[in-house]
Amino acid sequence: MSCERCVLVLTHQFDPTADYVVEELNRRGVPVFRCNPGDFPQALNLTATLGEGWTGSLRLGDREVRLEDIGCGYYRRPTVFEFPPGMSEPERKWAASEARMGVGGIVSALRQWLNHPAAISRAEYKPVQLSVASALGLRVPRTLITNNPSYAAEFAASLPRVVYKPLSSTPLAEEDSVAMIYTTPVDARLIDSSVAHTAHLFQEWVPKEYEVRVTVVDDRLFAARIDAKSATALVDWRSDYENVTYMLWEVPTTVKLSVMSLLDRLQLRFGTLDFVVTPANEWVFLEINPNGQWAWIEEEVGLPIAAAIADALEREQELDD
Amino acid sequence: MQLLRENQLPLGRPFGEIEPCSEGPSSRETRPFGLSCATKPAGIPTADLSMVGYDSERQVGVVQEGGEWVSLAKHSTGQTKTTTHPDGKGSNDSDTDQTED
Repeated sequence: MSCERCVLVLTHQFDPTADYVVEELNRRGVPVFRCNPGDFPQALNLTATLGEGWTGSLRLGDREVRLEDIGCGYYRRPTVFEFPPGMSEPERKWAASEARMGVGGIVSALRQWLNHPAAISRAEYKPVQLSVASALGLRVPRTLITNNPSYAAEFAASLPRVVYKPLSSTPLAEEDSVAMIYTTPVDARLIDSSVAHTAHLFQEWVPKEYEVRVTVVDDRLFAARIDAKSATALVDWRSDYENVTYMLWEVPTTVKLSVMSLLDRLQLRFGTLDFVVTPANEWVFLEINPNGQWAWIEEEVGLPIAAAIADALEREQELDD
Repeated sequence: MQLLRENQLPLGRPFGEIEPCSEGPSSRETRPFGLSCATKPAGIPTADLSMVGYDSERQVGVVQEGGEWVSLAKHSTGQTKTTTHPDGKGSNDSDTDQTED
């Protein structure tokens, strides 16, 4: 059911992916209130009173939305709160905690989300998503998470080929530059005591015929086949976009059903999933990103993902009290 | 780098501003194994954020093209690494506008 309630978009101003959705909502005449929590408290103003639910408003410049008029929240890329320059560091930390619990608490109390931030947070744990996917019957690569060098070396030696994958997408900033950590083949003989310094994820290498990026929005599923044209892209296509091609692709029904169950189990309405398809045509689940990027896939193969997200943001969900 | 996760709203992904850091790697005795896999991202265009603005009426990003401000969406698919803060203050943005997630 369509509605004319306002869509709350939480993200910073330089977010082209969110722009796709906001433009679509604008075309439809759906009210949008876009703000970045990073603007709180200096530019973004919040007032909320508890009655039968929270009432009040969010105000940014000359734009304002009543809390009771917000239909669905779209959690994209909000940034950290920014406080007046004169604050001391202890004051800043305290104020940030209060802002997080206050602003975060009010928006968390919204009933409609794509996706709820807490659901995003939980689903981002690879151990959670891998175990749920496996329980739902999706094939998942053999995986080890450890800070024990001996176990890591033993695991790597027991398999024909092993890769290291980071558990988060956190970049590394050092020596005045930024580096990324992609999926990387690992030689078992090179695994050493440095594994002990934090959690490490090692995974069986799955032979690839091609990969598939699946994007799910509510009950709609969009798939694009990804073919690597370089050795680097074959290991991790994210590390070599120049040597990747895309095409529309079909997802087998059994995989589709498991994917939908996975999102349901993780309480997600949106997710981007990566699969490897082996030379034997077996689909192997690698990961789900509950807040993944998708605009470039829309551009590459013409998938109407922005429109699907706009549909989802407009739609009233049937919620249990 | 300092990910200010405690400041995130409210419990979502660690969208961290990357604090510029000149500190180099520690010794082999303390550097985690996973960082031996660190590499510089390749093939990601860098946006000139001095050419980027925000249309507060339409609530979307805009970019200067031929002297006019046009919608940013069709000019960037998110596959962009930003290196300067849009409004010239604060620290560098993180890689969050790359497509790898």
